[in-house]
Amino acid sequence: MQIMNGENMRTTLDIDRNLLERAKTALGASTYTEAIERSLSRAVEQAEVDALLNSLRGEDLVWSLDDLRAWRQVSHGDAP
Amino acid sequence: MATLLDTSALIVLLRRRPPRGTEGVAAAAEDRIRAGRALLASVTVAELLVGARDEEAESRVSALLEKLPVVAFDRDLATLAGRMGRDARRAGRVLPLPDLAIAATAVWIGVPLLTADSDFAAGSVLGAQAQPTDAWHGFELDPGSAVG
Repeated sequence: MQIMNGENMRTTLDIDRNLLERAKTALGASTYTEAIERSLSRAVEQAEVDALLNSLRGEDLVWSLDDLRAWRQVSHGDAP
Repeated sequence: MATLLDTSALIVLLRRRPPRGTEGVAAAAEDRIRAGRALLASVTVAELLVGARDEEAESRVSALLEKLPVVAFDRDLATLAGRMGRDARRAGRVLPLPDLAIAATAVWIGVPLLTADSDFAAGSVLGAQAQPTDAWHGFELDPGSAVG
């Protein structure tokens, strides 16, 4: 059964107790809820970054390294 | 340990085929990002978006940039960048302001710089020769860099 309270949800999960204890310790969480929330947050963030990197098409930039160097040099002349 | 990604490192990562000699930089940049150890200087955000092909490409690049922590270029960093530029000039080397801003960011937060821009070879020398009180003290390149 799920009980919704605003943005939070109360539910029952079947979780490996040893894994949960390890996560709580490794993440410096003070409660099981905090350990789970931190773990989920990290997992989601990692998955989103992976998806973005995997979606790179190689055509998003019109300039090359040489273009970047040239652009950086525009306002820079000989050393005074 | 975290790494500051130079704009050049992101450019080689974002290209389908990195230029010869920069494949390692692209791989290192991807590794640092996936590991959650990549940081950006604020000037890099501007430089990358200057090179975006169109609005759609800008949206994809921005989505990736938003996942990476950005170090703001504030008064302290501007002061350090100015001192580093002055010391470089005295050593007979002139570095563009974007390079100085990025190098200063790396020194300020105490992390190495991953770059494919050969201009940073001069910075690497200045960092290696710097005394503890010098502005360039602590500047070093990420081992994945290619500045030869």
